[in-house]
Amino acid sequence: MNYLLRRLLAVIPVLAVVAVIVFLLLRLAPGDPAVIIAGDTASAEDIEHIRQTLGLNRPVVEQFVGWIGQILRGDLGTSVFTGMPVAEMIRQRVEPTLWISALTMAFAVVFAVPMGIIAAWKAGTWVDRAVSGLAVAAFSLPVFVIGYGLVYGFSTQLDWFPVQGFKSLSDGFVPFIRHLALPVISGGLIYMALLARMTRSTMLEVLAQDYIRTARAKGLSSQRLLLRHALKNAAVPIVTTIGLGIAMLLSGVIVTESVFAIPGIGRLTVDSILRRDYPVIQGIVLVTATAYVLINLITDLLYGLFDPRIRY
Amino acid sequence: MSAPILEIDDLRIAFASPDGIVRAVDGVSWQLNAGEMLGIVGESGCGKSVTAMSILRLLPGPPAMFASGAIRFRGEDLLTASEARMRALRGNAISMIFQDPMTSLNPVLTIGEQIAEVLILHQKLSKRAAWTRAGEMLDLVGIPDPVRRLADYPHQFSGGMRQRAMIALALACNPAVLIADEPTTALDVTIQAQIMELLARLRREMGTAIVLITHDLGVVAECCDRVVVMYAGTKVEEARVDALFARPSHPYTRGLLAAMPELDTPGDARHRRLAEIPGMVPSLKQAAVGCRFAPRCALADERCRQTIPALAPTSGEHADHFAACFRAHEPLPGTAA
Repeated sequence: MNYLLRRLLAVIPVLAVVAVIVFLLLRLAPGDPAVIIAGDTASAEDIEHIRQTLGLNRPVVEQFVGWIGQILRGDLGTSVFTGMPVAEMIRQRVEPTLWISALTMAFAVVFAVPMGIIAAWKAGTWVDRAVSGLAVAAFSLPVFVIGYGLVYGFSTQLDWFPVQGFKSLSDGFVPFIRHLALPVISGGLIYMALLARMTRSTMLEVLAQDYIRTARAKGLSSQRLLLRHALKNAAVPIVTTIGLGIAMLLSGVIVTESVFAIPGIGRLTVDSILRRDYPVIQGIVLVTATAYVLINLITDLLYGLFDPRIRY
Repeated sequence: MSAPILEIDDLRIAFASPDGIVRAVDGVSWQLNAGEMLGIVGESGCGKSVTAMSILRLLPGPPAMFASGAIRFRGEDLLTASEARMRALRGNAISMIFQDPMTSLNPVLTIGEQIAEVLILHQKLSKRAAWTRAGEMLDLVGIPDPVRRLADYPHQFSGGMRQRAMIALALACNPAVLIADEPTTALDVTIQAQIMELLARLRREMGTAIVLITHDLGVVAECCDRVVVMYAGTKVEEARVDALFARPSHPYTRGLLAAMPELDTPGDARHRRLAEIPGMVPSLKQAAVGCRFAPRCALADERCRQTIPALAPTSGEHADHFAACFRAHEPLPGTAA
């Protein structure tokens, strides 16, 4: 518990650094921030209005202190484009993104870990080669290629899945899953490939250990040997890869959401960048960075669960 | 005498390697009687560990490995037994302990879980009963405060304690045969003696027959009933321990014994250099033409290099003493035999 507290406290300086960088994002851009935000066609009044609402006419230090104070109160500012609070905009868009991320990772883990285990168990056979081949293929294809390919095959030609869009779980489970299936598969294949290869190599290493020979000498079945004796030893690198995968997903989801026109955080990011809506961009970066740090913390805590030699 | 409990009959094991076939075990036979401790000695690479591993079929399977001959446990050939039958025997009727106790226990499972697992698997004990029995086993192998130590992980045990735990694990199901593959090699000397004492005591108490694979003749002299000496995949000598030490017949065995330091040699003789066997262990990639030991043997003549000597009773007073040498007992040049 003491360790958990220390780790949670260590999150604070990391987020502080992120906050400074996010703050400087706008101020360090060359030229007048108000002009940048307003764009090419803006009138002088528009620019002055932006300058007033964002407080850009005040000294930088004062701006920073004010901004930090805002964040600490949970206020991420107001969108220049929509006039809505940024926190509210993120909240509205967070559901699809959370679902896509969770299901993408679940899809990758559910297929990749068994594939990796079997490939390691049958190392050198055609099963192993098939898994490796599949992994290389999934690795080499960009998400949008897989995405448009799947849409062409399963939506346009076969009409099994909708081409794009998102349905909330509250609209019913079947429409929800039908809308998410293709985004999850196209986004998840690359993580599946990564995780399958990682699982395979880690398991191969574990299976060569003396204690696996001991387990065989005890008369254990292959299944018990793999799942109880080997997998638990391979868990730490696998969990690390899953954690990194989730972190990577936070940016990977931008492409998936764009391909499938899903109104999530990824779309919001792209839209806000195109609109030069700095307060929203800053809010998203801040929220994403926090999620990143927390995922890393959870990954670290999980190590202790799998390996008794790691104690906090 | 009753039928042997374990019988190795003309066992041949070969491995496919990138540069040819390696004949790791080349026609070895021996028997293990119930309750007996049989020592198998030889230097690294002589095939003693491969023989040991092949009994429980723990070697990597075909196509990398070929085996012929027979390994009979209570008359049943283990080389041709089904995998399911082997699983039922492993850890139950035949157990094994290994050289390095630091790496032979699973680091992420508790000692109790690892011992209870075999009891649940083979003896169909309940979790609770298996745990109780596991505690009794730790007590039996001399681990203090056994019930509390069951919840410990291997890294919380010292090297000697881990080997004790391995022995507890191996003997939990009261096997008829225990194969101990260099069980003391990785331990320091005082712990070695304790572990050998423990094995000797458990053999007396539980009646387990033990195959002790070792390169330590001192350990053999102290604990074993009979000895098989292996060289380059073949058995070169077999005898009762007292006969072997009193009257070693094969020049290789004599070389091994001469290479042992003696503490009771008086005076200056104690400071002489240890004797060594000249030359190197031969490559096992070619089939043998003559005696495998001939290139290193001071007695070797033309016949030794042309013909493989068969195992034959020695002319000694011990009936069950065999050596594979044409010139057994002839004095080695340069020694006062």
